[in-house]
Amino acid sequence: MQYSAVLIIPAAMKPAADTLGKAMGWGEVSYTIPLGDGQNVTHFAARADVGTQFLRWIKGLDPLPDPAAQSVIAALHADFSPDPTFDGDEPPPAFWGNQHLEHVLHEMALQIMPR
Amino acid sequence: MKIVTDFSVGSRPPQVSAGFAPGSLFRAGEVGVHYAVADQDEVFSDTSGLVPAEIGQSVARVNDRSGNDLHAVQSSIALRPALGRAPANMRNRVPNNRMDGTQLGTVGSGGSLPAGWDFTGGLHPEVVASGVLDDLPYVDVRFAGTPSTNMRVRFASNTTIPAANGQTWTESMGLALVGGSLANTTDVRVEIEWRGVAGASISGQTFGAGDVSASLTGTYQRFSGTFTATVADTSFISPRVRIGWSSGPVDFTLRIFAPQIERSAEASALQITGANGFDVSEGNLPAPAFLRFDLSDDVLPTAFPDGGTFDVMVFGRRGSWIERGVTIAAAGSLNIGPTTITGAEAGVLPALGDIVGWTAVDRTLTDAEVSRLVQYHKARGARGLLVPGPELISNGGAGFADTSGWQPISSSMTIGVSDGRLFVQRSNAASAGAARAVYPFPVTVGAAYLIEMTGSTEMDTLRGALRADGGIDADRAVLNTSSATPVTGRRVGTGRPGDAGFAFGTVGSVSFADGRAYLHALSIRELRPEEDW
Repeated sequence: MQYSAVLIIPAAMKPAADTLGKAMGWGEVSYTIPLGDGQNVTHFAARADVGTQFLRWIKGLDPLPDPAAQSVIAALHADFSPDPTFDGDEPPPAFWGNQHLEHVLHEMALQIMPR
Repeated sequence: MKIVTDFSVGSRPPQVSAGFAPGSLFRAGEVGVHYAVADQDEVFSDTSGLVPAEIGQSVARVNDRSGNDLHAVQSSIALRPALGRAPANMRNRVPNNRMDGTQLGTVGSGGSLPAGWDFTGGLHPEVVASGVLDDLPYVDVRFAGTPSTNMRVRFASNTTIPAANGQTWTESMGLALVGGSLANTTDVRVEIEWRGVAGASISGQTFGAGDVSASLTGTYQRFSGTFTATVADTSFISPRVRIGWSSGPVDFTLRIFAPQIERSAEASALQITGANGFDVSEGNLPAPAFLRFDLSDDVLPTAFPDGGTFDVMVFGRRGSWIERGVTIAAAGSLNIGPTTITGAEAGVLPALGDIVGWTAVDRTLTDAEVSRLVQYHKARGARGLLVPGPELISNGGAGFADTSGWQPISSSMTIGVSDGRLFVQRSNAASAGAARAVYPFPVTVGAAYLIEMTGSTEMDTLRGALRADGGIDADRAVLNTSSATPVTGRRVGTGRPGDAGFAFGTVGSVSFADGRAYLHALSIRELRPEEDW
């Protein structure tokens, strides 16, 4: 199962989050989307397709491969679509790509800043 | 020695450009690149180019076919586009009608409807069978128990399939009653619901086709319904089948064959979809592959060790683009994504749609070469060069004589004309806030617009963009400047739900005493493939 993931990290945590991504084999840089209030960059985001294991790590269902990553995970806002934890009658909308990112940004009152 | 690797041998031959191979552009030793993903044979899921990418997978590398060995490689997993395929005329917007992800059993207790489908109705349906019959994927769903309301199987979420007011759509599906009876039900209908911005419910916007319950048999029959949106807020269409309930328990098994929903006034030949909409096929028709960028952070870079100045062309399933004279510094890169191409206007990529190929050559391409490249990629699913149509702004050219057509966003703001410039300013000294004006015009959701704007400001940062409710988004801005002297910006904007015109003005809070923001000139023209004008 693949999920669309939107991962948002406070700007001050970007270096640590990128380092964690690199350690997980994600490559040098993962968080490339500057976010803010329209004037200042306050966060960075990544949008990716992820598998079930990644989701379980982020949601704390499985122990992290590197416990030192916990400080980054604690600061991370992660949104997955479809929502694997949904257990109601009418599932929430499913999103992918930029539509997913914009949905999360709307909920967090953030916007994409000029790159 | 340069080895030109694309002679169109072994790949699907171009239908129009017989005899033309893009590799010939590099015969004289030109520096550049040529990528074509339609036949998938130079598209990989690893950066080394050892593992061919499969449909639905992310793409780490696309090999260069120019002979220059300048491959496009993305080492960061989060930044990779995905590989898809579809016939040139991709119509079916149900992302999964081949029943990917189906699990036999009671839904919610081990069983699963096909991925992306869901059920409402207050009981737990059971998936009792799934397979393919006469090339038609199907799923058998048993509804047993006492519902709490009418039952619906929905084939996509409320935000999966964009739609707009005035559009006509047709939903079709095969249905058969393969177990039990329809006792205590009232009707069975092909049904849709129009949904608003962000999938919000719109009152009274659920519509069903005629009741087919009396027609159902144990064998396949295809039913359809055609619907036209009539509400301005319409942003999405949600396809489903409805089984009305009267009272008491029900027990029947419905076989649902491959639903399809398409923007058309009638049902067309069935297209099979899977991999969450990344894999679309139709009989024996060619289904060229494409790259789908997420338009958030996906980017495929090509490093040019020596740099150069290039004519760049990108070919997409909604349109193609040419950018001439793009200069790339030594050790620089040609990037495609997240929302544009190196050297091109911001916002180009969404206007092109899924990408089937791109080319860069360190010389001026002749008109004949441009035409042949477009034809080559059209045979692989692309559409023609995007060209702008007529001017949509009747009062925004070089010099403003009056404010006609323009309006302040609220009474706290004033607009006027000074020295041929339109200005916006706060109305009085007593209140501070944004100072913005808007030019309303009908923005079509999903349409691309070439926007050129010249502005200056005496105060806070000035922006202009297709108007989104609540403000001028930074990432959609044509201009983003604090310059007191005129600055010109140019970008491609794509219409979104809620857009109602073009807005310009300040970002932060200003007061009357801070002065004015000026619009010197504005041009907005819709972009369409040349064959569509």
